[in-house]
Amino acid sequence: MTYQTCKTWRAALVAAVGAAAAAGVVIGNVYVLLAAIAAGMVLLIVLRRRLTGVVEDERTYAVAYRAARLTVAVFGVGMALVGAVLLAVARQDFTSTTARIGFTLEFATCALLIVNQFAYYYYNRKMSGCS
Amino acid sequence: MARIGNTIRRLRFEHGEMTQEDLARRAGCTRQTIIALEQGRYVPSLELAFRIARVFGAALEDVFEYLG
Repeated sequence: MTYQTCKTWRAALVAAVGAAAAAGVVIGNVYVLLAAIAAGMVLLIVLRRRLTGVVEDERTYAVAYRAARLTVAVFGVGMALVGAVLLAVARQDFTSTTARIGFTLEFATCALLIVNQFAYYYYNRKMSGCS
Repeated sequence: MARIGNTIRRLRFEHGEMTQEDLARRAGCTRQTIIALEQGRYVPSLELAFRIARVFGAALEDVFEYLG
């Protein structure tokens, strides 16, 4: 299956799964919703396996790398700033909702940077010949 | 980014007007990568450069040129 054919099938599949999931919501049956999502995931995997030809290469990885770096930078700085502003607005009332959201954002930023550093450490060792 | 020129477009036409799709398939990359290479917007890895040169049966320096 070529990439173009796969894209067409994928679009049709997404539409069908969306319709089935919506029907599940409308009739109030969670099993229909879950079944539609599960079937969609399985069919997407089947479609991907039937795909022939190259759809990813070093350029797409380079694009993904740059996008990931920008995302981490923007998201990290953004969350840290918004969290700091919320904490400043909350002043000393650390039990307020504003402060809790601020703390959540700050800790999420910390978690993001920690995961990022672990990933960097791992790939740095893996790609430098260290065992 | 390093400036590296290439003669991929000329070589494609010298090889029976090979299409970008055909070159991409034989070099193991996407057509978008071939387009980016021909337009000088992407510098390939050494491996891809060797694979492209091999498709044309040419030496690496006959396909790619370091412009500084």
